[in-house]
Amino acid sequence: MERVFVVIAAFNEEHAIADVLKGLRRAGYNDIVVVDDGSKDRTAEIATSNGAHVVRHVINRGQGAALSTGMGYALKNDADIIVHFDADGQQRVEDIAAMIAPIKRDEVDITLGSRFINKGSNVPSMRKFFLQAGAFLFLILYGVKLTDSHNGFRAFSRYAAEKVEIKADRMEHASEIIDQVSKHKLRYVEIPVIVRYTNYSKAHSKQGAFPAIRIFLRTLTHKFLR
Amino acid sequence: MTPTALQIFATLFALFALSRVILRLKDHQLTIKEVLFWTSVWTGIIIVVWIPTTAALISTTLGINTREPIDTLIYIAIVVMLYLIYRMHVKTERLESEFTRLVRLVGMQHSEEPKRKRKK
Repeated sequence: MERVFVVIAAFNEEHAIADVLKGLRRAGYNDIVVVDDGSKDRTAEIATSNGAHVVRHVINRGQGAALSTGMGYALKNDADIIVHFDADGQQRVEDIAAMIAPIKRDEVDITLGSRFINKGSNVPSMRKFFLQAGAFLFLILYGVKLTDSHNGFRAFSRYAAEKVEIKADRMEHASEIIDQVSKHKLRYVEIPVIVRYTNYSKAHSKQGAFPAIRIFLRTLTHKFLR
Repeated sequence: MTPTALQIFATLFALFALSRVILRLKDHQLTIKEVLFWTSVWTGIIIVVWIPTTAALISTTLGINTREPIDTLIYIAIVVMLYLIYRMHVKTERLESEFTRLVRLVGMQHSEEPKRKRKK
């Protein structure tokens, strides 16, 4: 039986984290690592009392850094499969089974969630435009064909998790992972997932034109200036 | 020839900057290479301000045809500044990633187990 670790990067998520963790545990995912990325609220405390392993960043280092810490922790604790899951309740626990199934069958090394294969995600139109533009950028920069970009829902086999090294601390880690999928010739597949946009999740995630342009510029800097 | 206000101001500023360079050298906060670079920059400015023909000389040597030889110095200054910005960018990125490594190490050493397990 594979040991599945769910890695959650959390920054000031005291209002959402408990429900997310309860949902995961109800579905049988008991190995959960919450990386508290310098939260100023009770995120870490709520996470430990809801059954998660907690690694705290004493100061905020960004989502990429937090996911990388969580993956390191999971690998150290003998994870066979690692799932990236959001802390704000946007993603559905029931989609995890589909995300990890092709890895269990050893068909792929990494699965990437996509909001656009099947309809069902109420993606705001501006966000949809930037996400699909991002997917086009991945095709140009890395030669990896995807329908979605910057979807935080991913699953890695142990082999892929050991290969992928996230150096980008902030949001551009999403493109860095795709870059490494291409570099290490990892087998990948997109899995349809549903992302629920709630008022809470919208308020908590960086949306709109300016964050998208900033991520785009940082992706380019990361690729060409390092 | 009476010195112009620009000559006096530029010289005083360059001397002030030079004194900072020497102080940082004493504190071991700058390397010898950096001290040599900044000393030549500020000394160069003093020379050009007091002997403007040096600007014309640099201009001719570099093959830049301009009516105002001081333009050449502005071109050089822009190139140098771009290079310094690039160096700072690289250095900041390196510091950021070292910082993250440190934060990660501290976090890993103090990781907390789930509370439900402690109850057993």
